[in-house]
Amino acid sequence: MQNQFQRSDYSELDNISLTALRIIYIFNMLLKSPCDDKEINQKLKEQIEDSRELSKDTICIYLHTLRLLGCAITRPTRTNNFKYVLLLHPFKFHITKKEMETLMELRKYVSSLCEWKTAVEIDDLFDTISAHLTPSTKKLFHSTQKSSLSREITSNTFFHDIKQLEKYCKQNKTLTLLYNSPESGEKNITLAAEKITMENGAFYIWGYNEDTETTMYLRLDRILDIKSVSLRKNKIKPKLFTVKYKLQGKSTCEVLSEEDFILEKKENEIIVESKVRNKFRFFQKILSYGNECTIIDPPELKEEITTKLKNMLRLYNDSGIEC
Amino acid sequence: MEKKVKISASAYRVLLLLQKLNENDCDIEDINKFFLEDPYISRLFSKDVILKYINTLRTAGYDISKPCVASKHCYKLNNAPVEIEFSEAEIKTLALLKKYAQSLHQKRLLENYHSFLKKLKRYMPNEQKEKLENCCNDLEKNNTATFTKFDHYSNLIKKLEQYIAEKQRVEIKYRIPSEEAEKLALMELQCIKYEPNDVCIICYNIITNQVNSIKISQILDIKQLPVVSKISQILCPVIFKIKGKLAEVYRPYEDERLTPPDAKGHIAVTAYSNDIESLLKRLLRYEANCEVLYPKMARDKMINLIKTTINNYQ
Repeated sequence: MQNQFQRSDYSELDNISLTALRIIYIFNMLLKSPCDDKEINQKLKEQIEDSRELSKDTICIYLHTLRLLGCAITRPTRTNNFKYVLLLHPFKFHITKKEMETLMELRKYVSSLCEWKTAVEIDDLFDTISAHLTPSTKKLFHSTQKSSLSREITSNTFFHDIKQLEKYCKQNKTLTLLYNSPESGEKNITLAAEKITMENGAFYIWGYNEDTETTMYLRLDRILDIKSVSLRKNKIKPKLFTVKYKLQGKSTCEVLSEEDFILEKKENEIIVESKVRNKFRFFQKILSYGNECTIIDPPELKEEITTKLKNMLRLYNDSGIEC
Repeated sequence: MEKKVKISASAYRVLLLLQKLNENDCDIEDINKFFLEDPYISRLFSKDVILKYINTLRTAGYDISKPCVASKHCYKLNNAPVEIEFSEAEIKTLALLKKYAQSLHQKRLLENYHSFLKKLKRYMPNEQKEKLENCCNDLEKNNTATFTKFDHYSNLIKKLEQYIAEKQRVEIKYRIPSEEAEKLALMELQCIKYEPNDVCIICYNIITNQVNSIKISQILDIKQLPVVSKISQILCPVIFKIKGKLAEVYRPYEDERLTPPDAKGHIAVTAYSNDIESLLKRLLRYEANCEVLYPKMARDKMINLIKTTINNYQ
């Protein structure tokens, strides 16, 4: 605290309110830690030379003054070791709605850059700031957070320490995770942890599953527990399959990922070769290009995507909805 | 009847003054206004008395600036009565957020972040303020692409931001690389949208009645017209159904509203999207778990999108 009161100049006595000074000092004491009557008197004496002993009643009046101003101070009871505890004070931090919205916009922007570490740090910072806001501002802050970051999964919802998970990834540890799968409910999944990523506002852990011989990616907020961590280091080479696809039109301007390599570039068309680790994710990417993308190779993936598209079309033909 | 508690009236006034100074800079008149409005005080005080209160606060260790012309004759409490301690990582994040706000080149973002930081600094211990300053200075030297990729568009972003604030129509000349011809459109600007490697302007086309997203790298020229935007454009909602497990875990986007699941567990999503083409492409990712229901135009567009994609493989 900056306001360590030291009164050395008694000539100023007429020009200050000594009672107010004592109360400010008691407030600062309570900010640091809970105190009882004895400690209050003792500390006041240390700060104010010739300070008279305050009676219980005077301390009571001083604390009432602070309470009237908006401080919540408990009464001394057995449960709090007969000390006064400052629970709330009116000097909390306040920020405007516009400032909150700017903070949320920046968090969203960081998320769009897939910078998960920065996103985690911002979430931690928001927690600290929120803890120091006035109750009404805190309420507004949380509602702004909820509405502006509706699609964002914030890292404070994870049961586990994300930095520990990152360590496991660096060491390629085999983890058995209790995962709440949207498809099949709670189940144990074992994978050789590879990396943590952020995509579409959610955090993921990537890893190779030996049983299914596939690279999986699991949403961190769906991991309920880390059941076991294997001590041995893994040197598993994940299975990749090569795919060739063609992009046309506006999609040629899309930024490709690090797994993609441009084989051929024409005026309105590019041929891309991609090393695919997860088929589901690959299909999602290809489908999101719409009719501006065609898989060229391998034939089985061409067939698979055609089946998917035909199933989608059947949905519209069968439902018979007339708008 | 409420029990009347004994307080120290003068101390209450000093502490109230501290509270008000913590919220805003005040001159003698403002201070007296607070005292008059406070139910426990309800009276005015002479300048000498107020000066005595300010002196008490100064003696207690609070740094209160003297009123001057620059401060509009107001007293300013330079440090808050309480401190907020931040970790090293949090201080770095505060500096990093400033750098991100700068990199987006919008005056509004930068001003809001600066005012937030200015307020926050009042609560920070001096050594932490210094650390923050050092972190900001270190980041100033960081010229990696993350922070400089939009520098080239700085003026255009600022211009677009101003046009949005002024709510006037604009004439935009732009060219999409896949199409040879230049396009000229009368638009009402809505907002600036950042993508990882692009900045787009979301605008309402007055002629086609559609909302477009134009990459600002494709803008060749933009002119503000002396016509105030008059059309209060209402986005046509697109309603789609989500089925299966996806319905249980679907995370709505900002412009989407969900209905509770029906007996089969399906949910209906109403999307007030400003770019239907992009929305439909996104919905393709949900495969047969998603069906566009309304309006007919969007449903037909979706069917057409699926058919033309299938045609790519025939």
